[in-house]
Amino acid sequence: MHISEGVLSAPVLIGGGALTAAGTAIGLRSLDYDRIMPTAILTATFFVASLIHVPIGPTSIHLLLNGLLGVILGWSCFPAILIALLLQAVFFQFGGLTVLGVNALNMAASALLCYYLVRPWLMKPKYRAAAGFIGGFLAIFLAALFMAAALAISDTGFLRAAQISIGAQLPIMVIEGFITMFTVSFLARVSPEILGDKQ
Amino acid sequence: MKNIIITAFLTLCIFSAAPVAAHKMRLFAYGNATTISGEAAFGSRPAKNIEVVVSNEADGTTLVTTLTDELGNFTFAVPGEAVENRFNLLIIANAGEGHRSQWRLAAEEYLPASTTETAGPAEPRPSQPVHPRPQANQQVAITEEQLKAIVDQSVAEQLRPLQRQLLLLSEKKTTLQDIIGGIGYILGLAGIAAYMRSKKEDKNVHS
Repeated sequence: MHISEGVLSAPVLIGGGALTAAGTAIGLRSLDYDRIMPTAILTATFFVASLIHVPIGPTSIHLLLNGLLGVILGWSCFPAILIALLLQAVFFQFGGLTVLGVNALNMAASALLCYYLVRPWLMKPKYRAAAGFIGGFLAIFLAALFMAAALAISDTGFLRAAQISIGAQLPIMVIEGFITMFTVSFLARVSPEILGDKQ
Repeated sequence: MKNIIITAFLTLCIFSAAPVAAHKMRLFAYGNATTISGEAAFGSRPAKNIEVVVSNEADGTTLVTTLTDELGNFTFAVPGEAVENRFNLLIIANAGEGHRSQWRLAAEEYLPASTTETAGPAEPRPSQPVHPRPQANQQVAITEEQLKAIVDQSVAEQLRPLQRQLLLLSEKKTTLQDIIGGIGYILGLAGIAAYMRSKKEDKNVHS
């Protein structure tokens, strides 16, 4: 899911960077005192999750967990994902520093969309599991779609790029759907304040 | 309780992740003045059916486009203009999905040293051996250039595993230190954020 350096054109890189900066600013503002530790823990989870590889598809794919971050953190997923991606780029050579903005935008914007789509149902115990699954599934789907869009604006046709990236990520969508579902259900039982309603 | 479980999950991630090779694409190429071969792989898995674009490094014009086979290998004939003008080749493999890797093949790596090349065109040479040795015993005469080409090619073949090994060695592996270091950074940033927030709240309380 990480776009490598040298693939995207400059306008895409700059646009992605600007949008990520805006999202991060809003995310940091919404980050109140009680949310700092959950955000940090989820940042760390996102940071290491990418190391869990599943050897399926043309390249090996790895966990992303952006959906989990999105449904739990809301806007704060922007700084969380940005920092995790920065550290991944520096320590693991995933993605790269120039594409950091675009990669963060793809993963955080999709996570944020899931937050708004799924959140109302997440608070109702009856629908919680389904909402968690959909959140985890959809976040990867959207991230793949955004990535395809970023690649398409730069060169390859959108349809082909979208087919490749969504096709390749399909197993991960299902896996993350389940991971998000179980994590959310588990958190709701053990420490509902992490899911806690802010509004 | 929840902290223990989260810590346990993170620890599990760390240890299950440690031996995994990065999914970065590895690419290398070698060759001589007629053909260039190379291979592409994701970690230990060959990168199949991936588009490989060869371009002139100086101006970026595309010279050759080819695909990798089932084993991630590719071969292409060196275009004449590249030999004539001694292009430095830039070989780029693009797996779509944002995975891209490149390998630079400088002119001196695949072309014979420029001294023999500039000494003169190869045409007059073949006539020389005819004089001293009129091929009495049906022996196949090998000119100096042909011999050199054969040696070059076989040396390139022999060096291939060595090159691959060097590339594997130079590839930075993810270590436990990287993972723990990264988590340390995140905790440190969380600490900074908590400190800033507490200062702000202090100010609000006092004023």
